[in-house]
Amino acid sequence: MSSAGNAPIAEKTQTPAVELAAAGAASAELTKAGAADEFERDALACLDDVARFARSLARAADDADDLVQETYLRALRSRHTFRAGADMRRWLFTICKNVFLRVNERARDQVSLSEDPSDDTMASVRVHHAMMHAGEEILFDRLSTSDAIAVALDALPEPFKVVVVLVDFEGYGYEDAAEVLGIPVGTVRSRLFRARRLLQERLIAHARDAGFSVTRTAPTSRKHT
Amino acid sequence: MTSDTTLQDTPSLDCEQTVRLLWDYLDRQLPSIDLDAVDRHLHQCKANCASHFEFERAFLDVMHAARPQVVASDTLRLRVLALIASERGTATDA
Repeated sequence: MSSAGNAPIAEKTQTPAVELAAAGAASAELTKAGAADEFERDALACLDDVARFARSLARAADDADDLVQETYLRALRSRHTFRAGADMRRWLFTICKNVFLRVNERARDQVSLSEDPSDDTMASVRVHHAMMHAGEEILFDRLSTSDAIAVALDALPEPFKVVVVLVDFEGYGYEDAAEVLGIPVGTVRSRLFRARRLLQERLIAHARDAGFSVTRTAPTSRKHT
Repeated sequence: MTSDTTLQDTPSLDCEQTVRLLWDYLDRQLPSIDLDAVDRHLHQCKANCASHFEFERAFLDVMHAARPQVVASDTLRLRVLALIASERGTATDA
């Protein structure tokens, strides 16, 4: 698999809903013809979800397609481990995540988190203060946030990125995300919170680079109750 | 249990505790007693924590909106179908 490219996700993937629906319908017909049993039918029914998940992780279309193909190859070869009635989408996401992290194994080993929750709390307050100085509506209204988020997301350490994609893009709760990732719920929570704060900091930096008046300030003036 | 009792049982949070719970609150991951406690603090602390809450909520809104709109291309679908056929053949051969 080649390395991920630099083009933003949104720029490369946003397609009008009508076209997406038409593509989905055509693909569904293609799918019906190709499935021989229930396992294959259920797995293929998740293909759009897996393709979207892979694209969120790998960004470059070619890399994402390779990731999907490898996911399905592994799924087919380990289909005997799939319990009938289990959540096929979650199972495929788990495989996809494992393939993705294995490809990016070096990054996975570089993750370290502070054990002190007050560090994250104060960092969160600091980011909020920086945003208040700019006016958050200015940032979110004027910034091309989809592109900025795609770039910021790509810069995150891979395990952080996967948690954000599962929770914020795919709508998983913390417990379900923990099952997909094979980590404790507390680790999902700490990675998610850290990742969101990093994304916010990068959005602020992006806003500054784009010429918006965002001032970084310490939270010393905030009065705590 | 009366509603008065429930209100009395709701823990009182300070700003730091509230900020620590904001993401859980926004992600609907809190038990109801903590939800109530965060609600109460946000109602009382409009200048700081309610503002912080609005910022985090706006951030999550743009995150959700940034989800890639992707369907598998026909090319990819054909690749996967070919893979399935190939693996089916392998299983049969075996």
